[in-house]
Amino acid sequence: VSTRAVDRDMVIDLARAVVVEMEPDEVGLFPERCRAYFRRWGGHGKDPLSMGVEAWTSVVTFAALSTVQSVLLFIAVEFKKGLEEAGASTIRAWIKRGFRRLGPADADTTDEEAKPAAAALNREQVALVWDHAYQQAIKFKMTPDRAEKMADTIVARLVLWSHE
Amino acid sequence: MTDRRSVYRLPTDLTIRFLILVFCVAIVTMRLFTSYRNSRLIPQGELSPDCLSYVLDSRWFPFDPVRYSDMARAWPECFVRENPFPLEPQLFALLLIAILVGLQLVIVPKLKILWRGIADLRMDALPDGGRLLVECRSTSGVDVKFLIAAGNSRVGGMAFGYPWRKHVVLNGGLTPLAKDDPEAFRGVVLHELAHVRNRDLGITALTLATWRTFVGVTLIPFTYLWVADEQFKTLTHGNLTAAQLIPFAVVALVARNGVLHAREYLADATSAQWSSDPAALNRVLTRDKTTRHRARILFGFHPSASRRRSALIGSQPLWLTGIFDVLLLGIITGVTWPSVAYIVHGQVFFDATVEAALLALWPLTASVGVVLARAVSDWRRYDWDTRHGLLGVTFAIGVLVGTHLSFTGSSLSLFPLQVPWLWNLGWCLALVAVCWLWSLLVEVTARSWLWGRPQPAAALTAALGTILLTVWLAPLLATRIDLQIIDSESEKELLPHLLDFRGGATGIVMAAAVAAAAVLPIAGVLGRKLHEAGKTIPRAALGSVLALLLAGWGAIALWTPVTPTYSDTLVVTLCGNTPLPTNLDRCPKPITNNDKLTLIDLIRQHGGSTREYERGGVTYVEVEAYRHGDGTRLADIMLKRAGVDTVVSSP
Repeated sequence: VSTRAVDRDMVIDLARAVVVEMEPDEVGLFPERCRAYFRRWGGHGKDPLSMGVEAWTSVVTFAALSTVQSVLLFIAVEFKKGLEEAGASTIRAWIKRGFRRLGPADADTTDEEAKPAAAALNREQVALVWDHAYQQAIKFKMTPDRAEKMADTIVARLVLWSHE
Repeated sequence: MTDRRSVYRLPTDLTIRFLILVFCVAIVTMRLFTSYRNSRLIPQGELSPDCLSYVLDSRWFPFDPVRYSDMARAWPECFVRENPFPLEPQLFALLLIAILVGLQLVIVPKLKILWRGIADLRMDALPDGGRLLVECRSTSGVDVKFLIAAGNSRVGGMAFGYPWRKHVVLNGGLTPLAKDDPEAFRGVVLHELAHVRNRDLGITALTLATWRTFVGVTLIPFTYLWVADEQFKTLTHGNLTAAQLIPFAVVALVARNGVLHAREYLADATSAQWSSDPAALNRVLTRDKTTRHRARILFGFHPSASRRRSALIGSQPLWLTGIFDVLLLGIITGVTWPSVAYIVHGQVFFDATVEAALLALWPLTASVGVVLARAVSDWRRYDWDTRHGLLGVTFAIGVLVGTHLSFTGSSLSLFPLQVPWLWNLGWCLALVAVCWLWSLLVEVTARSWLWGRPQPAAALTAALGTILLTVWLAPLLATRIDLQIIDSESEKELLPHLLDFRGGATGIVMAAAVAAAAVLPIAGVLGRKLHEAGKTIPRAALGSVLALLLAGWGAIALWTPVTPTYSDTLVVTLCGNTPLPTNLDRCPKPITNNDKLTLIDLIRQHGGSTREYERGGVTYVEVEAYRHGDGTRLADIMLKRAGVDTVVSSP
């Protein structure tokens, strides 16, 4: 399953939620950063008349986008075998339904269309998802506290989002 | 700090370094194109009978390089194949450089926006709503459009654009600082705005475009010709040219980076001046923890963060001319000076079409004077007591390195260097001493004139220095060229030429100056005396006297004929072998016909001429060759090399 199997809109939605929660000041440039992230515009420090300082700041937006993308891919690969042929919309629907069980019951839980496509995630699987998100955040040199917060936010938003 | 950093705006380091780059690129490219054109020789077998007679006539004895050059110009179809370029090679090279540089200036900013994903910056997207940016723009007084490179997480920004549309790009990694460290954010933004205010956009773009053009039209084509064109490689000494091009390319690259480094220092200083808080920018520079190798810094766009910090907050004067700048100038001067000397002396020993390119070297000479004068002014201002000698010697070392990089016969049309190392060393030491003395005199003059603003003194001393450097170094290098021409392996034969300053007042004065300069720097007597004189004698008076002395010296040197001439005719009577001379005392060992032909060939090769006639059964050959300080030295050497050990000569 390639990263293309993960719906870009879904990644953006979840990442934006993470940014709003963790670093509201970055919301202003969120669209530009998303564009740069998906087009792989990194830039380098070798331009003339640039500042020429090899120092970086930790931008939560990129960490969020990357972590969310990785988490969604993880879910798709680990919990839904045989999705190689599935389209992005199928994965989106599956994830939505997989997390639905964790949230409050509503009318959609009886959605017949969802039943054959996805089984609900159990607590162990959700814990695996959280752990994956945490590890990814740590890779972006986030402090454990902030990495926990990011993992919490992602899992919580997945649950909430599945009931929207 | 403000005063120190705003005082010298006239000839900045930027100008000097940019000139080095442009001269390097222009001269090398023009010479390469000309060499390529000239290497397209027509083999004799393909010549028409008329052309063959022209060609033979042009090379026939007495050989005259000017006549050869004139004939080659008049009937180019008899000498070289059709010009492969649409214009004369040198003109075409210059035009090509200009077009390519111009194209890059237009295209590169657009490509940068496309490839880097740079977008317009919405002020409301910043944490502070863009308040700081507006404030910075107001402080700097420059009108720019702010853009954002959202994908770049580095702390920094970039300035680029056109004269009519200037952009400052903020990196995505900079924007968090607007909230976390507003002063540092201001420092970085002001740094980029300072690039705009200091007019760095154009000069930087020009510098980079020139370098890219150099790679595109000189290095790559030469590499191709070197590998694939056997005729070019053979006729222009391809390996030799390759050996020259490497240091040329390094010098050009370092000069390019010198321009860029200078702009960064200036932008840092301007930013600190505007924000009145160098500490903020210093905090940003401190974030850079990477350790870079010296070579990486030398060939990179930016100086090291540590040097920038010390320049920003330390007491080191910002505008001191660097040792490395002076070394580069020396190298370029050394490479080009023999050619200038040839033009000064009106001799044509190489392709006449190269002269046009060499004439462009005079501004470089002026810039050499300017940089040394400025260095001296700086020394005066900041009291760096030992700097003048160091600069002078460094410059001299550069000249020597540059001279050693010049060879004849290569596609760069420079001169060979085939002298025993011992004489080489002696000559180098003499040159170092002359340079030291020259810089010392310039320095003292500048110091004496510095009662007020330094700019007039810098300009004046630069002009005087230019004259002096010309009249001093040109004969020295011309002497060296003689050594190269003679190509003798005998030290006895070389010595007179090494010491031959062509007679006259200039030679004597220069010999004395060399002797004094070689001895006194060690003891430091002259420097101390002059220093004391500068303190006690009214500066204006001392300056005037020194200036008059220098001007007089220059005038005498210019007036005195220091060039070798063809006017002195040496009549050499060779004892021919047919019929044998009756007076055996005058001609104990008759020369063979082959010896005679070898001699004539040698003299022709070295620009001399011969006329042969027979009288009373004796063959006379009239030789017209250089006349040197000791009269017939060159002719003697030639005769000996031809195996003719018995001659009868009469002046």
